[in-house]
Amino acid sequence: MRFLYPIAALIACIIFFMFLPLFADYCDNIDMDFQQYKLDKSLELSVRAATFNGLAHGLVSFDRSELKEVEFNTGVVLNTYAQFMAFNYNMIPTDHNKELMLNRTVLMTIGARGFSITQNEYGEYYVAGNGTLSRPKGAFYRPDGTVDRTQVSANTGSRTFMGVYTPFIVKDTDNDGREVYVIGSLLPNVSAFTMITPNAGAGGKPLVQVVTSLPGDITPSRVQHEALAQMTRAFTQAWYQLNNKNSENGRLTFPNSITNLGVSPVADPGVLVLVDGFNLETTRPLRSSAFTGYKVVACREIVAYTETSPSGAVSHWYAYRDQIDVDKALAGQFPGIQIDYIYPDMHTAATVKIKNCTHHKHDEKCTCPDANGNPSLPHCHYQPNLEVIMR
Amino acid sequence: MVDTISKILSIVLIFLMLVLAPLLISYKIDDAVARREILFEVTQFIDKVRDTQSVTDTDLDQFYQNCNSHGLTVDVRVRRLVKTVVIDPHTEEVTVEYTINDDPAALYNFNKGDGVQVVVEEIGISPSRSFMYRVLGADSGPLKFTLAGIVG
Repeated sequence: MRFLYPIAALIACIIFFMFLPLFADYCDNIDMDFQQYKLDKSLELSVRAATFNGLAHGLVSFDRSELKEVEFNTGVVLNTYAQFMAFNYNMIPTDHNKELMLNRTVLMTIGARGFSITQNEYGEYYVAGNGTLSRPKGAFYRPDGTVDRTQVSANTGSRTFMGVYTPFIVKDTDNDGREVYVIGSLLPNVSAFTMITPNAGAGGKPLVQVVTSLPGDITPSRVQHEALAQMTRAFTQAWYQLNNKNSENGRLTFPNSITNLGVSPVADPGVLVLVDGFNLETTRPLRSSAFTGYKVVACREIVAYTETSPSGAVSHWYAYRDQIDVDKALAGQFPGIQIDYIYPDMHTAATVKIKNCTHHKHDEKCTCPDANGNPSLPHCHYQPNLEVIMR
Repeated sequence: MVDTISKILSIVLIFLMLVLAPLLISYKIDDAVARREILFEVTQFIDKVRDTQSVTDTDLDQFYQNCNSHGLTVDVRVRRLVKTVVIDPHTEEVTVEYTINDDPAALYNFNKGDGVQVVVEEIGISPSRSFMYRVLGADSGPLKFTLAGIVG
């Protein structure tokens, strides 16, 4: 009985010291959970910014309304992403800090009419004219494009850049048995495709056409499916190359339909980013990968028009642009309808004040308050044409 | 003598395991929830600015209040990131750069494509928390994080 207390105390001590690392691990996990959530949100906001700017400065050299197509400026996407990731971790977006962020972004892909995947390149050291140690990729470029070896713009040791932009190409034969190549797209509602027929042009050159109906077995859904498959293959291959020493990270696939778990499909143009080993604010690198996509959807413009009935009644309406044949209306083929303007969204169309409407009497017009709260001059507003919009 | 030491040790261990440990775990959970709530407030604020492209004094006051209503005392700074576009005349390469504008008046003039950055920093750390953070390591230190998003 005399030795019972020491033994019990010893056992309690052992239990206590066994639980200490467990508690430390618990605390660490709670901190990691916060940092993980922070990384997810930072990534989401950065990708959103990159996509926004990539589209705003996109390389659009064709009629977007006809092809219903978008294109990213890959350089702007990468630069904006790096800047916002730096801002999200309270860093000034210098070249060094941007590269720091990009080095932790193991893969980024941009997909629209084709796709591009980031690559990381390491340069060899060299000693510049002023004795600075640098690498060829970090050399200073003069405005005329020549390299000044005596100055160094960055010496981070590596450079992340977007690889070659690869268009989605689907190969098949047309009705005449000739080989044709169709340039695909991730957009599901594409109504026109670029088709290349080798040796069918003048002088044996390739014949490039914009077609609305696809030849042979090629269907719009097949074009989209194969485009996604090509991007998946390239992305998975790059993923394997990065992780060839770590078999724990397995295959990555982009779902092309909603999965049982509710994962959204990758079926529209967008930017996908994969971050791994992020250890800027944590005691150990975050092991889990954050995967964020940003989807681009086609904007439905709003057409505002004035309709005069045979009895002379005047109405101001708005409807979606694709619900009214604007070309015919502009050519005067719809009697009594005059197209006034095309607005980017419904809100803008509804808030426009038609000040010079002489058709309505004053008591039928609105007098909305101005910025100072005083009633403004009588005016009209465009109203939704429900008969058209509800179609 | 051995009995007395054993009894004292047992009482200390009982206190540690039955009183202090649950308190510490409860504190950690409360702290984690507060941190997550503040992060959520910041995310909501950035989303709001993105959608409305404007910030009013009422928005800012409400945001400061919301951030400080989760048990932690935090200093919140909102900055505008001004977007500029430069095109290289030789290569026609487009470069988009963001510059931080610390002036509070700049917050009322967001342009589409500008950015908004929120810096959150915990202030007024109690001595007991400092002790837990610096000596015991059971605290994750003062909360400090930044989030930035695009407007438009």
